[in-house]
Amino acid sequence: MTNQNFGSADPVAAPALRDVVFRVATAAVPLLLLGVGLGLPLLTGLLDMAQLSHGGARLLSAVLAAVLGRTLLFAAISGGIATIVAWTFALITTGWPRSYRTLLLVLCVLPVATHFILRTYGLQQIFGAGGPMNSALIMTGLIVEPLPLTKSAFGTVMALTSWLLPVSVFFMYMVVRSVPRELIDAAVLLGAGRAAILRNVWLPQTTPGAMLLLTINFCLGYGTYLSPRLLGGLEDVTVVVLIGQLLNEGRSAQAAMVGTIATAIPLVIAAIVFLARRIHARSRKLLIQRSSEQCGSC
Amino acid sequence: MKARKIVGICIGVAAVLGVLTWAFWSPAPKNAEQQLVVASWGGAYQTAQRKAFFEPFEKEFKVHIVEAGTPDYGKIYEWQRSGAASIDVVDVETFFVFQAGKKGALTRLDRDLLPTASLMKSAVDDFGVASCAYAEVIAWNKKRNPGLSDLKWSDFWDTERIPGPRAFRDLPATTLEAALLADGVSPDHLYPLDVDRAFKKLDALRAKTKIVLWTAGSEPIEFLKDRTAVLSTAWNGRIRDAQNEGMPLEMSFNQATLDWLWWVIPKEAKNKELAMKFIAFTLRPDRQRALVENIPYGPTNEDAWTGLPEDKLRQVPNSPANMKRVIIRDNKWWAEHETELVDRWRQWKLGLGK
Repeated sequence: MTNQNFGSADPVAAPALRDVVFRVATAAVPLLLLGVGLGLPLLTGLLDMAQLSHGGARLLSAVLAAVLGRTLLFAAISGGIATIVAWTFALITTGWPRSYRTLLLVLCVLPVATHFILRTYGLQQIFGAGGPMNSALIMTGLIVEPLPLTKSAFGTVMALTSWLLPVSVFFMYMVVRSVPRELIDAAVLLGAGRAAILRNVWLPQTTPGAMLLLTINFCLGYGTYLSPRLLGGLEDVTVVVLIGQLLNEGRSAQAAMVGTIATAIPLVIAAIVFLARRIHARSRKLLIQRSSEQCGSC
Repeated sequence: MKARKIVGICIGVAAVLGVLTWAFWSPAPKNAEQQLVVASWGGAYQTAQRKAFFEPFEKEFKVHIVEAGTPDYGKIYEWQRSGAASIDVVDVETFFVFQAGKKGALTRLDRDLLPTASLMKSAVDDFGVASCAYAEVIAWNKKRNPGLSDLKWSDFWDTERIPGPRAFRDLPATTLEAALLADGVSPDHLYPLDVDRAFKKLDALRAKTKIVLWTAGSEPIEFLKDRTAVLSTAWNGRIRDAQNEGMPLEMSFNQATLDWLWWVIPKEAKNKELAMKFIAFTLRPDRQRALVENIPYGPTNEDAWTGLPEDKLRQVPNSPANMKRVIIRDNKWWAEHETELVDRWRQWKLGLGK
């Protein structure tokens, strides 16, 4: 065998270096695009805001912070309610006969066939101060004055949840259906009760699907416009409504900046969750490594 | 057999194509330039404009008027940037004429084509001309509140006498004036507005009752009908229209804020010449009278007053009798402070900065 000279480069280190360069390049391109996409409107908006007086800029920042907080809250509450209701419904109906379940699915899809604006106006009529819901409550003597079911935070959450619910039920139904029946049969054969099957089979099997639905619902709810516009109260302004108002006032640079910040926030949240999970996994791995080393020495 | 099948398929395809062409084909206007796109506020107001302005203009000038959706101020600024506008004439509020004119988003009007001698002085600007006067009034449901009449802003704030939610337009203009008038500021000393005092008065109302906001002109009617609000601000023409439809609504011109609705031509409009002709046409005394016949929005051409019946004069906010009772909004002041006050209004709505 002849000893071939490959130059000064280490033959083992070379592919590793290439790998690093490739990794950096693949990460850099999307990061650069993201940076330009988010950075440019942010910069334009900040420059535009600099033209406002100090008080004016502070005022807009305070408004933006409050609006972002409210939007996140609305998205989390409505997304959470829709996910939990859909999850519960899907789990309950697993024991139902097939024909009933089909009927349920048809009923779920039906509202989607009507436009969201129509459904929201319908809710406004039904739950409004003079609508059938308040009239019935007054007639039964439960209340004297109409409840603020519309033009309030409750109205916004209700409209948003009702928008998210049909598709959520459909989604969770498919998730529950994908659980292998053999697991349930095995649990029954092993003598598990209903509660034990729910705890040990249904919940662990369907939780990833429910988490995915929660994320989708949150994202949809985060971009809501019509629900707070039609059914929201004095304080129920969401980011998209704010953007619409700024555009209407000819403040497009500030609208772009608000849009950028609103887009960046879920990305930052997702990045923090991702990093936290990686740190957690790494520390767990280290812990296991250390304990195995300690075991080996003892 | 095969040939017959092919012929059959061809006939079928031709029939489908024929039906589709018939369904989607619309004849192009003989002269593509003779088309004017106008944006206005819809509802009873645009119906009145159609009868008084659009249809007679189409007949007289042999052009076709396309009615676009409601005015979008953001789009007018957008057209300025992109260099192409899809609407030729837009009906806008006063502050926008001053604001957008200053920012260069509007076309400077050719005064030689306008009847400036007979127009009210306050109704003419370099970048727009007012076509009518309207008022933001206090409105209520007289079936639910039969004893009320001639309400003013201090009554609007009196939640002990008239309990129940109040509705305002989702804008600081008029709302701040209303708060100051309710707090006892004299109409002669209203401007420059004492903004802090106005927001304090609004805070006091908010502490006592629920406040709801409207953005579309039809919303106050709905609010008063379904008890979402007991008292609401509203445009006088909308209330009159609801009354004509048999709804038990009432309004008061006492301290109502008077304002104008203006025609403007976006900077990048395609048919500027025709747009100018249209604007001049709507300012003719006979057309101004025709508008009042259809909706109680006052004329801006002084010559239009002659021949208006007494009952119409009573309904018009800028008639000599009503002019003594209304407040004229200082739109120059608003154009200067609009941005800062809109942000302050947002802050107030969110309950911040107390």
